[in-house]
Amino acid sequence: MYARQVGDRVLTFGVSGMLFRDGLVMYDRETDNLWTQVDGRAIKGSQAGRALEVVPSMHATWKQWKQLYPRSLVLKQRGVARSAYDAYNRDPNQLGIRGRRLRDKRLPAKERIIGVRAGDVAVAFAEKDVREARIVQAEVGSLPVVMIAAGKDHPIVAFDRRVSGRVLSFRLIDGASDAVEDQQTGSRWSVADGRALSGALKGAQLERAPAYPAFWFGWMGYFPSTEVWKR
Amino acid sequence: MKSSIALMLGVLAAAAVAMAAPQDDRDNALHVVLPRDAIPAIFNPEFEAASEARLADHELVIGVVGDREQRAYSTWLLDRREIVNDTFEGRPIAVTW
Repeated sequence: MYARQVGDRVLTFGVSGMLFRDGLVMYDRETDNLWTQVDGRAIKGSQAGRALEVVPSMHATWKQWKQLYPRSLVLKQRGVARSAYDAYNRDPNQLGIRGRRLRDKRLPAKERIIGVRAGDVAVAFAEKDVREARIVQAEVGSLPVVMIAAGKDHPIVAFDRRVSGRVLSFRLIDGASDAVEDQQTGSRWSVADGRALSGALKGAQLERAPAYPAFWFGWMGYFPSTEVWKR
Repeated sequence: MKSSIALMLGVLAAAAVAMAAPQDDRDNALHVVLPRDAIPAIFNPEFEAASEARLADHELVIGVVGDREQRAYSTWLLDRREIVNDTFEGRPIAVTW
């Protein structure tokens, strides 16, 4: 997910019909540049080299999502009974439509990851590893992040751990899946929206980390020097 | 996020795979697999309340959470549209898949 504002212009994106490293290539109607979806970069046209700003986003099943965000809005649809790529998504050997060899086998090709980028540093967090850990504190370059999978039915959320220049670390609270506690002040923070609910930091707000979901093979094609988070 | 487009082509896609040598990760070529806009992006998205929406429990969504609002986009729908040009809390965004 990206901001459509680039400089003083708002762009509108369509599907170019092209693939780059098996990822979607978008074009914009205003300047007719080509942009790669995995990294949000202009690869052809007057803006080549520019990058769109990442808008943090997350993956969840509908069940997980509506539990955490019951008052959300949902893009309207009619009669889409299942993914058109159900078989593709499940097939561990079909990598991209043109077929691809994967050199970097640090993770299985179709592992679902959460990618985080900060400056030139990219880190891939395998969703299953984050779920297993339930709470992960890490640094992506100079960016301290926390990922929380508070319960089986919760989506994974990712926040920047800095509040007013101070870096916090968080722990789970026994018996609570909707809040975590910071170790510095003992304040309680809502998992759903990153706001401090009580304690010395009550009312403070965590920013979302610039994280978004990807397949491992798609991510590493664009960020070959990516780090992989390990417990 | 997914590499997907030509799967839409069904039989043609199978032929394309058969003809194409496997790429490797440093391939810097642009590959045309469909005409522009053959997959129609969404330009005027409409929304409904989560309480009204009829998605399957295991349906994968992409979500965005702001200061006041949250929005979810079904990946099953995005499979067919790939891009949603939206405005979220006043900020123009592109939901891409």
